[in-house]
Amino acid sequence: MQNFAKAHGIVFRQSARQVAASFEIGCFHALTEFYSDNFTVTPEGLSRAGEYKYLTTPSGNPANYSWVRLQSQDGNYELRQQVRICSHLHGDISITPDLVVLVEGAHLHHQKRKDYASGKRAFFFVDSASVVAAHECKSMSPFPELLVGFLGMMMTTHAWLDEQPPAFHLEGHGRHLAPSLFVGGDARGIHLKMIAALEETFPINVIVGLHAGPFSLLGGRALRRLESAQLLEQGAV
Amino acid sequence: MLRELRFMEDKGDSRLMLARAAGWTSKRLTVLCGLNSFYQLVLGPLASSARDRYGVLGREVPILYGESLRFDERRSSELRGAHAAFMSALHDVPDAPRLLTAPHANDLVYRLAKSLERSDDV
Repeated sequence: MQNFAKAHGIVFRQSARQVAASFEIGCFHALTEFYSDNFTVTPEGLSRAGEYKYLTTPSGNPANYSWVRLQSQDGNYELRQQVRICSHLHGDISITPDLVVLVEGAHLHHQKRKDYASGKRAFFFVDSASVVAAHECKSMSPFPELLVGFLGMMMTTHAWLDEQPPAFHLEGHGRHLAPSLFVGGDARGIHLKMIAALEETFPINVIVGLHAGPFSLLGGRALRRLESAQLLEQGAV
Repeated sequence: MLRELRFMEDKGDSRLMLARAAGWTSKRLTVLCGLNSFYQLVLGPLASSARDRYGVLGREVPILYGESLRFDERRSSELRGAHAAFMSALHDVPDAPRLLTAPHANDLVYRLAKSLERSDDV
């Protein structure tokens, strides 16, 4: 271990924020890989030097940062990060998931509000009606309150859950990953049972043990997937 | 984790006793708990951004996270090297990946005991 620390110390001398960022990037990679199975995945909005500018806070203007185009002949979507979502449940409810898949061309609002930064900075957000699936990354061991807390995010950010008919359905061969909580730590047996129960009850995935696993969403256990109601009606999937 | 380990010791936990009989002293288990914490808090999350995968992001197209954090092939290669070196240093620990990701001390001891039982059966 002393040899390890001597040889690689500089690699793991990172701040807590950098460590959490690394896990988020790992989840981002896993999600783009998942989508590459059914979509052409293209990074957009790169810097002049060809770098992907990852938005790290909802106070930044998403229009100035990179995003990922998910392209298919049946329609395109956008994968973005740290975009604030204003809930369909109430205009004053807004949260920012780590990763979100939006319908193509989702309108990005920017408002100056007295109750935000004293009106000096714009409040950026998209409507929850534009959301296909919002995902959250937690580099920690799972515990019941974390798991149940994710349900709140799911309910506030997915307008289609409350629509009749809903724009998206759970579908075994669906091309979208259902709203997912990515958890780095491993789970105990009792929590695995709770996760199975939550996944049976709600249209979500809770994916644990990502610190050590292959970190691929393809090829492992069957995950809950979504597909657009329109495509399902057409029999395209 | 160490508090939980002491509690298990006080209670004479059967799986802990099994591990003791196989040479896992208090000191060795304390070190293992420390390595578990290091892996879950630091190395595991870092390495998760560096795993081999399909696509250009993080390779041909580096990712800039904020002002100073850059995810590119060089960083990924260094992290994969560090991860491999860490796991190599634990080559004589049975089922090291499962022990390093155990959420609590009693999970770690349980997994260790199971590995030791399995190696006895072989």
